Amino acid sequence: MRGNGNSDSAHDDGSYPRLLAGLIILARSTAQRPDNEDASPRILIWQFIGVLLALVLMDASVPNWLSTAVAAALPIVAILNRGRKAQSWLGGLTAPPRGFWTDLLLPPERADDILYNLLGRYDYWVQKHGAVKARLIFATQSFGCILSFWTDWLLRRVRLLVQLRKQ
Amino acid sequence: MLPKLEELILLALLKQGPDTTAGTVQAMLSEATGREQAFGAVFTTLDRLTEKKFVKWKKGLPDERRGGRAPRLYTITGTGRTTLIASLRATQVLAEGTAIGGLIPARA
Repeated sequence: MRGNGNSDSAHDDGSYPRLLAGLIILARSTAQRPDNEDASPRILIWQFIGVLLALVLMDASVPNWLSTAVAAALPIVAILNRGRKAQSWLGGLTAPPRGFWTDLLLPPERADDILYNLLGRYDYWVQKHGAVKARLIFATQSFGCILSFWTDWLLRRVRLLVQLRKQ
Repeated sequence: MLPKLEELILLALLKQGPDTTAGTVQAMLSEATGREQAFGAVFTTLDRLTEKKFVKWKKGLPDERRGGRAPRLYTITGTGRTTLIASLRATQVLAEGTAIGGLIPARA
């Protein structure tokens, strides 16, 4: 009986962080929705039910110390994520790539031309293959452009050196 | 004689007319060959054609929809056109008298 009493007491102590965790999850999942997405009340209700279920399952199956630790960690994660974009991870995947490496590794005029053409073709790849594969194709084609540019650059110099040595 | 890719790119430029972007050339090649052509190969070949004076380019206007980037606009030169005709004529002469001479079937 005493043991049960202690257990219940610990259970009660742990329920507040779990409730806080649930509220943070709910607030974040609502706040992170992109503006253009349909945030109907039905979706919000389902989200709330999902969080409640998660809390019940957590309470039933996970040891108390672990759920308390997770609950304590969640606000820290929320603070760390505050500076990130409002877009979700999948939302970020559908956005057109920036071509950072192409800009970095090629002369500016060349990079401009290459990215203009790759971005022009990107919509076609999204339509044909989907966003994830389109990004992969974009990355592969960018890498190919960088590689072929510098290979060509190197070959020209080698050819020039060979010509100079012959003279 | 021109290498095959140079010949195809010159043909695409001739067909498309002046001020063509590399992206349009790549799209035309991809459509003609039935598989996605590497942009790297197209850019390098266009550089080589420019060096040989078969092609000239000028800078286009920046496009805000594409991050404010400006493309190169390519046009085939007179020398390029003459070389292309000579190359195609050589191919035609060689094809004549063979089973496919004058009757290359369209892609299925």
